[in-house]
Amino acid sequence: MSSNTYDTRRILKSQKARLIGRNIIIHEVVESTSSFLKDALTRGEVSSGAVAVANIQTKGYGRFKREWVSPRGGIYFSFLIKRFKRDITPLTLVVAYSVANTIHYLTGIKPSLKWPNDILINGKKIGGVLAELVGDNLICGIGVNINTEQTALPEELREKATSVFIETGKKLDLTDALLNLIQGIDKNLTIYKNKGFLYFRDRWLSLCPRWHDVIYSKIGKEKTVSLFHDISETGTLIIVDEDGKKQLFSGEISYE
Amino acid sequence: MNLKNIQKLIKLVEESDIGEIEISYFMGRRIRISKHPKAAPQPQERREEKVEEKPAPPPEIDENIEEKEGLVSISAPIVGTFYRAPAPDAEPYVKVGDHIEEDTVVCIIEAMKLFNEIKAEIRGTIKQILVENGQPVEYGQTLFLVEPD
Repeated sequence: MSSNTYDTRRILKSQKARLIGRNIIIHEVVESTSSFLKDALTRGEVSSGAVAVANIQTKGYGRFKREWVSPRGGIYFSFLIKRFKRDITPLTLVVAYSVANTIHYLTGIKPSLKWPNDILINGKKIGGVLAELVGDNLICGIGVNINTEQTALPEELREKATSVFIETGKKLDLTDALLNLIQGIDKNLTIYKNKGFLYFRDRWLSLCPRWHDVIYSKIGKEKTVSLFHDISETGTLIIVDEDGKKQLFSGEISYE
Repeated sequence: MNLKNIQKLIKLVEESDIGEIEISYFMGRRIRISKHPKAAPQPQERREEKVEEKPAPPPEIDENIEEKEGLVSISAPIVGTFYRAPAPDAEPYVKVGDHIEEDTVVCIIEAMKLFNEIKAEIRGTIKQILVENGQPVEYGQTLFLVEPD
């Protein structure tokens, strides 16, 4: 079996009653796994814990519908949780931490995290997390460049984006990687549900090399230079600039 | 920062020949007051403009508007960034004059890459949109004014 497709039987056998991964739906091509789940939810066809996976996304999207280029070789999936019983806001940080942890476990290489939820290797992005709340239903999408060849990434992205394969020379078995990612997120979300974000705060920061470094933050059109001071108990970014300490709930940060 | 003190300062500037004044330390904040009426947004001054706008959030101002015109506000249930449309090139969820139902999605507020669809939770007509696309919003900040049915 080629490492760039999924072993459907193995994946279906892995389905268990837990927070996510109860029902795994695999697509060859889909516009976006999150929009698929959203539509399926509207039609009442999926229940809590469903996971949608695709080999290729034609309209994968990142923050504010920016395109997330999704060629074969990457892992693209979304999960649905209905009525999650905790503050949902820090959840994307928990998911990003979990993805980084799984990549570390699978490759021996420790990715780093960029607030709120970018996953990087050698300073380039390999993955991202994006969540949407539709009523009290949470849909969370994850894209990770795993076996993606450099030629599959658009030229203009090669400075900023990379894949596990490009950085390590190793190709992973996608089925293995997917199941580890799903089960890792399931485990961490269960911990989050019971213990809250405080459990993850230091773990998240341990993967963030820019803690206490100078960063640029951009909210709306406003760009300011500040010091990355801390991550709060609720996952917000605490920065210090000339006016003092500030808490960021949204926006983007960059290092230069 | 005291609203009255800012108002006093604004009045002083208004009555003087000064076109613009910047005080680096005023009640613990930096403030710039400029007379140019609705000048085109100048990027390098955005911080100070924001400070000028700061007095807006106090709830009593919103209540006044509501009382006067019988309007009801839709306010931000969370802190984050306000978006009027699902994508930069998409049509806004609602425009002034639109009729909305309780479950009409009026905007998105993003916090830490979690996109929350905000529903109107009231039936009526959108009379005013108080926040610009892409702007940060505070908890409880009024986003829309609605004339209830």
